[in-house]
Amino acid sequence: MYGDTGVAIRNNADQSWPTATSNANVYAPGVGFSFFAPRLDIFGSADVGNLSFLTEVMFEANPNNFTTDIERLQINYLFANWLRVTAGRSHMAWGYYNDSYHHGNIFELTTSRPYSVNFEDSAGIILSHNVGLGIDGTFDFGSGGSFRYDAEVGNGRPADITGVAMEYAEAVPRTFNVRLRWMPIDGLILGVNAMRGVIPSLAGQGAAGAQAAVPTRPQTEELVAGAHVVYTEHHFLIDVEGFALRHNPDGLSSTSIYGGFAELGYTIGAFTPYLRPEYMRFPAAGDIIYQYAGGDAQGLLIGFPSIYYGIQDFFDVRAGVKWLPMAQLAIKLEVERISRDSQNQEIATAKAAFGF
Amino acid sequence: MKTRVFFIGAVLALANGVTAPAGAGGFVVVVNRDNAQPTLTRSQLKRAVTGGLKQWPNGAVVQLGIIPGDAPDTQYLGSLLDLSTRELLSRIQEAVFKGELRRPTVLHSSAECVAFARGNAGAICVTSDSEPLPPEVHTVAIQ
Repeated sequence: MYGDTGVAIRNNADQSWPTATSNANVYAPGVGFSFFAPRLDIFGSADVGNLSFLTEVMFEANPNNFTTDIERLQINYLFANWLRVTAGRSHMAWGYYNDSYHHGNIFELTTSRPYSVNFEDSAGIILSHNVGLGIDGTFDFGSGGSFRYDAEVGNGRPADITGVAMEYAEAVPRTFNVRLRWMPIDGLILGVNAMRGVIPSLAGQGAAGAQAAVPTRPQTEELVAGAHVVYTEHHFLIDVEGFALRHNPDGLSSTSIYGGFAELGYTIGAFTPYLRPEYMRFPAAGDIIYQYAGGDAQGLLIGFPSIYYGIQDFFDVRAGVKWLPMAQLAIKLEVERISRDSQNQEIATAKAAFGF
Repeated sequence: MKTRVFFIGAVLALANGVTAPAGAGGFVVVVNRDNAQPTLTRSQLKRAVTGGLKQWPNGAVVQLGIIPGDAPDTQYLGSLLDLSTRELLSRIQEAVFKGELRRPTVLHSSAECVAFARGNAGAICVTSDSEPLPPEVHTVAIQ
């Protein structure tokens, strides 16, 4: 079992930020000091012969009430080192962070995930979960290192982009994702990704009385390319990831989003100081999928605007230290500055992440 | 299916500063006799221990056995991989959480390692070199 609790202090607490998500950074506008204990993660795994099962059952606050999510529910069959088949709900094989860290915050360096690879219900940009099939495998080339591939096909996003299409797909064709990695020496990973998906149209509303009509968001093709460089030896943790995302909405102009982050840590005994800058560049005219206003079809559906609405530059930098004082506990002290164009916010967080 | 004990507590408890094994050369890496692998490079050993190598050439699924504490056997395995015991066990636990590594079988002694390797075709673990090995178990040289 895993969970976390802590306290956060922030300035500029009057900035708008949705509380109706499970985002680790939620707060009520005007309240700059808040305690939190929002997650309980029950992890289980089992295996028989070449067959393995894994699940993560999450109880997470949204908003201020615990809801239940089956975050991972996957079954694997290992045919050989070069072929393992996975079915179910798993984390998309994207970059390094997305499927290295899951919901047990004790394993992460920082108090929360990078924004670009956050979960669907927490303003993430890259599709986090895959509900479908995946294959992966590793080829060993001796002194040439090893090569790993991952290929996945799944339901992709539903029309409500904050959800996960876990029961049925809402669009055809599905989402396809491929990741290729070369590991020339121990601890060094050089990887690239490519993903294609289709986000279904989302119905708007007709004009009613004095209210103007809300246009339907058209079906949109999503193309994403990414690259990552990771080093995890000699007490270092270096994870540098970048992506370029293209949206091709039916009947509208295409838009692009670019972004990336670098997580840098070095372990000294029980302490790991770290730094993580992250940057995303949104199109000047806005992105039809991830920059919805409160009055757009997506905003009306969930009741609040995107945290990226109306901005072009999103920059987040955080520095802190992770301390493992005892077996089941990680204490994290972190300061963070979020910049949304010219609007800045500083946050100090103390968190205890635990696993038993 | 074998019952395995979840051992995150011990994984994260150990100090990072542990380095040298207690008596390097006093331990050996052993596998089942069905696994004909005579040698492993340190890189291969690290991959077997952290989930990168999932299956032996004989088709058996890699199954790590380990004493989840600051035991000399575990220190020795860590030293082979240039990792402190704490780092080694943390990586193992993280690999289990990722789904890359099967949950290790918890051992309590060198004798249990030998018994584990004797009964599991995919087993790999560390035992004292003074522990008698039955014909079903053989050592693997680490290069």
